Amino acid sequence: MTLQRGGSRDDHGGRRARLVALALGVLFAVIVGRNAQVSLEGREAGQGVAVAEADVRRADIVDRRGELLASSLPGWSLSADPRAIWDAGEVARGVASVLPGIDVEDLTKRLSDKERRFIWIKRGLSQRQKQSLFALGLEGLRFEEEMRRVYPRGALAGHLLGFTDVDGRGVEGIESVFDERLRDGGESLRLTLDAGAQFALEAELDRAIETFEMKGAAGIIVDASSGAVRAIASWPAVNPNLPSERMEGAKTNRASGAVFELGSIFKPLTVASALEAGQLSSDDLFDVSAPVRIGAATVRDSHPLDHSQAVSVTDIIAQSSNIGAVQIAQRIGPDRQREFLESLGLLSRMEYEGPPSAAPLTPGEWDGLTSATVSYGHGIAVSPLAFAMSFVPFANGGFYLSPTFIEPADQGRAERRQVMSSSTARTVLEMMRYTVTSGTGHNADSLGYEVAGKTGTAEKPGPDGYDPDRNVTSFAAVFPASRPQFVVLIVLDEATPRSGEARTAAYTAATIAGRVISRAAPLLGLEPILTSAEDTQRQLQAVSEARSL
Amino acid sequence: MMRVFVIALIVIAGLAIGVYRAKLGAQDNEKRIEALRGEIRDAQEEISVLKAEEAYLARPERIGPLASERLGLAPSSPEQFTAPEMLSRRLGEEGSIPTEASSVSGETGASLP
Repeated sequence: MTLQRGGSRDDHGGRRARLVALALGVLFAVIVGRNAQVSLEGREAGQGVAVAEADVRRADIVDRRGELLASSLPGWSLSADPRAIWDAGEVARGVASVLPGIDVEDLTKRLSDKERRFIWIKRGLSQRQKQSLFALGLEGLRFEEEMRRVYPRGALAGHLLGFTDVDGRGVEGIESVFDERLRDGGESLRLTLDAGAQFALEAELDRAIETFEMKGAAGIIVDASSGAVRAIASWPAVNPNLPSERMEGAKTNRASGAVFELGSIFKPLTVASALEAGQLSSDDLFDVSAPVRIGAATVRDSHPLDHSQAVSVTDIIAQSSNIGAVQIAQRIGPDRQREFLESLGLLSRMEYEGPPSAAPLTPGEWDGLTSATVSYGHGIAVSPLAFAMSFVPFANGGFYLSPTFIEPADQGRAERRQVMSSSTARTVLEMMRYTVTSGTGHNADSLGYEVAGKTGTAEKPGPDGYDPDRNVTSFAAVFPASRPQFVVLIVLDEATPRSGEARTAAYTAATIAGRVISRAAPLLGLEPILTSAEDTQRQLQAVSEARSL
Repeated sequence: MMRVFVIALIVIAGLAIGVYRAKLGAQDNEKRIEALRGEIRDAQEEISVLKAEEAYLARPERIGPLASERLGLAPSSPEQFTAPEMLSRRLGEEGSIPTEASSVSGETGASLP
């Protein structure tokens, strides 16, 4: 029995020992496993990432050379806990002493609402404002640190860049179109813009107000080899740091967001379409001595041309003959004319990667009368950006390119298609060069930059038809003519020379275009073409005389 | 059996200490990483502020008048460029200017080819 009882105890003891050993084994395995996990992974994955993600900084915007155009800097926002405020009026007056835009009565009312524990007072404070408010020692105020968008170059390219709201979301322009890309942070968004050329363009549009009374203006410079927009401006300018303080006239982006009837700058397109259709030779002569009647309408020239019974195509462009343009349009017919303008992207809203361009206003019915008016740029309204792109084929051997705003611009971003032969492009370019050396574009000449261009003067439509006292004047140019690289378009809205000169593009937009080219071309890396000292002296004198308005 | 039990206890105690030390080390590393992240963030913010200040100070409308008033500089104009083959002639033309000016002070202007 004793032996049996002792054997039973041994059995129990052995079982307990095995159980303890098993428990220890399991514990051992858990500890070893956990140790291995800690050794391999360090800390638990996932922690800290959320913090990093929450701190993602909106990416900068830079120009093609890396010049900073938009950045995000730490700023502060002011909030308050109404329950922690004893004297709401005193706090409101104190805040208003530092932030003059604050409505004291309204803020007092909001701070008196004891049902609420949080209200925003002002977002996007500067460091100085924060320190001033902090120094007042007012009760119940809190400062929240948050990123704020700044545009260190002020109004430069303001319309193109757009701006963000207080929560850092893009509202207009590049900020809106590329909002997702910018909010993801990372590398700066590099635009095709050249800050130097942009400044030159904006400065000349600003300066134009000294020479003309005008309602608005737009200017564009495009690289014809890639479609890259190097400068684009709308006047009056807008400062994206202060979007709420925009003047009424500055709200419209006249360069891409508005459409205009641009007048005779359409004539080179009319000539190009006829040359392409094989219905016109550059040697053809036209009788422009009498007005052209189309149904009930009569088309006249504003000024008689020399030898008007036998005028060359070059003179139709250089002297801007409406009658001649209509006769050329009649040769090609409405359908071919419409197809050609369509191929240049002028009859529908342009598709491209950038702030959207306004849709054109096109004729409902494309009959003989429509074709006639369109031939000299009436009856069709397009955005200046769309029109500038229609001149690009004259500068690159006949290829239409859609505009591009993002670098690298030469990596297939632009839509590219041949719309005219290189010989047509060359022929029309030579006609436009003659227009500047010997025609209506004389004031646009720029020493050494061989400007080739066309003037356009269009009366603005009003409630009672076209108004002869309100013009849109424009100048579309390619330079330098012997090795074309850039297209420039200047559009002035209701410009009137203060000197009393005529309100036509020859005295308004052409002058500004010449100034812009002289100033922007060296910044775009273009050296002037100077043939000889005598030529230089002669050209210099001619340009100086032309500019002395 | 008892020996195994004791050895297991020692191993477990050792491992427990190892885990504890690893955890402490991880926490220290975490703090260091957070501190470094904070420093990087501060440095990045500072760089952003400095870049923005640089861009603000380098605005052409500010630099232009300063360069004009203090250095006598002006935007380049096309007539300031010249072709290489015209260089000697151009230098010859400009050479006459300092000669005339220097005659006032009695000095001799540098002769140019």
